[in-house]
Amino acid sequence: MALIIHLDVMLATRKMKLSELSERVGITIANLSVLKTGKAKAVRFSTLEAICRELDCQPGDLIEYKPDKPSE
Amino acid sequence: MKMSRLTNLLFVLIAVTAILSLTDTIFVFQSDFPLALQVDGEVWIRKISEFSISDRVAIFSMLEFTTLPWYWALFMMWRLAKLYRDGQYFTPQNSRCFVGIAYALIAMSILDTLIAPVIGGYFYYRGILDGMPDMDVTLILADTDLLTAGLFFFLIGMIMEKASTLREEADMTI
Repeated sequence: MALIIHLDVMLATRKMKLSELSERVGITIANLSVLKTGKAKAVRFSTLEAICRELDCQPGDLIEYKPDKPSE
Repeated sequence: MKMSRLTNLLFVLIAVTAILSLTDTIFVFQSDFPLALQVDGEVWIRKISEFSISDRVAIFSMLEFTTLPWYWALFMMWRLAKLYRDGQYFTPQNSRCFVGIAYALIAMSILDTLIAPVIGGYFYYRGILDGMPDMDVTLILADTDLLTAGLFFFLIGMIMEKASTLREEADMTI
């Protein structure tokens, strides 16, 4: 996928556990894991807002666009 | 009516229908029903008991072959009811069940249309009939109801496939 989620990096730099973020934003650990591993199909603005608020970051810090290599 | 009650009722009805269909198969084999075909504009009738055992088995096999898709449709309905009982409403399995029922109904319409010429062809090959039975337009049109139902179930299957994709997207939206 062309979108890379840096949730694990953001959590590590803030020394925050996934369970703690889960409690703060009110999203289950399972769903946050789906987001962290890049398996999510879509992210709600409300979820993004809550994560950015708790991690004190911008959406661009969490999501990076890296184009896929064209298949030969 | 609750979904669980409805699915349980469906289980019972499917089981009863399957048993009755099997009973009908045995009855057909045991009974001395007359076979009627139209040859050169005239009705040709002969009782099953008038045929030899090998012919009887061949006729029975051909007649019962047309009911096989019906058992497949019942099995698909049973699987669908099981999925609904387990709370799986919009999954690829549901879609496959609907498509399975659609194929069964389409197969039934084709087989029901072909059964008269196939049996007639067999009689002609065995020398029982002097010619092939007449192919009437009404014979072909008679089974369009099954074909329509089959195509409708096929459409539902395709819609269910789209629904399962939407469900997956909704599940994976954080």
